[in-house]
Amino acid sequence: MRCRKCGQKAVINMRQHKLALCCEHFLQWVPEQTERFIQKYKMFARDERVLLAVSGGKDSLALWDILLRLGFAADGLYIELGIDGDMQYGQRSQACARKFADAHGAHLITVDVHRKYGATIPELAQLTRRGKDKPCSVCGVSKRYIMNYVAREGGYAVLLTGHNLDDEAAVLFQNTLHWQTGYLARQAPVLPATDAGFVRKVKPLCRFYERETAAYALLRGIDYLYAECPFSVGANTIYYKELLGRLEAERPGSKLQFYLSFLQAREDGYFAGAKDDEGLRSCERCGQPTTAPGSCAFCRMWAAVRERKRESRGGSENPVVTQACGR
Amino acid sequence: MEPGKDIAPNAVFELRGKEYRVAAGQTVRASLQAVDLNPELYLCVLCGELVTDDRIVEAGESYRLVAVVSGGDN
Repeated sequence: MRCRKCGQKAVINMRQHKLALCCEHFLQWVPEQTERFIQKYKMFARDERVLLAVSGGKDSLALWDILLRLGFAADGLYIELGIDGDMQYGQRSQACARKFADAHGAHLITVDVHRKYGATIPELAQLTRRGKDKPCSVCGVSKRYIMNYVAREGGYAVLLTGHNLDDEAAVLFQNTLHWQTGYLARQAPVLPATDAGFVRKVKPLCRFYERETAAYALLRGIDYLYAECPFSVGANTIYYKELLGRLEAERPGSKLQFYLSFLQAREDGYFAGAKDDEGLRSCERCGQPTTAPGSCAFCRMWAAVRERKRESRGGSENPVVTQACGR
Repeated sequence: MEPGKDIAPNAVFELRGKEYRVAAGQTVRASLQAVDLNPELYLCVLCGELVTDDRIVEAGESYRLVAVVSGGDN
């Protein structure tokens, strides 16, 4: 197969676009398309301070690389979750993020969940009802909270994540299966900032297939963590990605069409009635936005952990965990 | 029987330490499908270079597969 632009040997064939490209032209095409999506969805302007959530995986490091190549001064945020899984997952992912930042002279902020709040994500999962048998849930709550907290406190205008089209299509598929209209209403390339305190969130890679972000990372020589989070084994998202992958193999472009048609329906107002942003208020403990009355999910989670720890220690308070909200 | 074991072992696809033996003379895409791997979910590296899935597999070649799927339920 030959590159459509130069006729050299292609390294990737994007069947959904009927486009094969060589290494050189693929590495040009990805940043060009990213910039096009940033502008199309009005994600952020060049003079805005942007914070990118970095996991050490292919998507976030590829996005950081693209942004730096495009001339955006993006800072990175790495959250140390304390996940080991007999493979030093946390240390290795942090090492990848740190190595990239150092090699590019980029600023990396690191938040260690155990040091800041008093327990690792696996411990948190053990100590809370929310996390029982599903650490991904407490991990998600924690990451979303910390990302917004750091972005707000750091004065960043926008928070970026490396979600790709496969991530978006899998979540869309899951939410459609369950007709979670509230979640569908909130799924978009850009979630605007809210008066209640959510920083604007954007997903510049939301139109790229996962195999494209992986190919970009490989071709750019980015040292990313190839191993998966040990808790992701059997995750619904991965199952849905594999299902959609089967569809894509038979019907090229199905995933892209699924996602773009959804975005069009959303723009046409199909989910407008399901929006629940109006119910946002400030958490009475930490001030971060929440839809719940009283405390936000993060504060409630850590309050439960404090209670559990107090019980197990015969009534003594854990001085670290009492500062769960970082205030 | 492991997928692909009944095929003449002319080329090898390696994925996370596991080897899949395939017959030469078919495309990479057909080879992956022959061992029940979805070509959409893997990138294929030969001698350190990414290759497209229309490449014809030759005898003695050794490919490395890079899984592209990642994620959790958060």
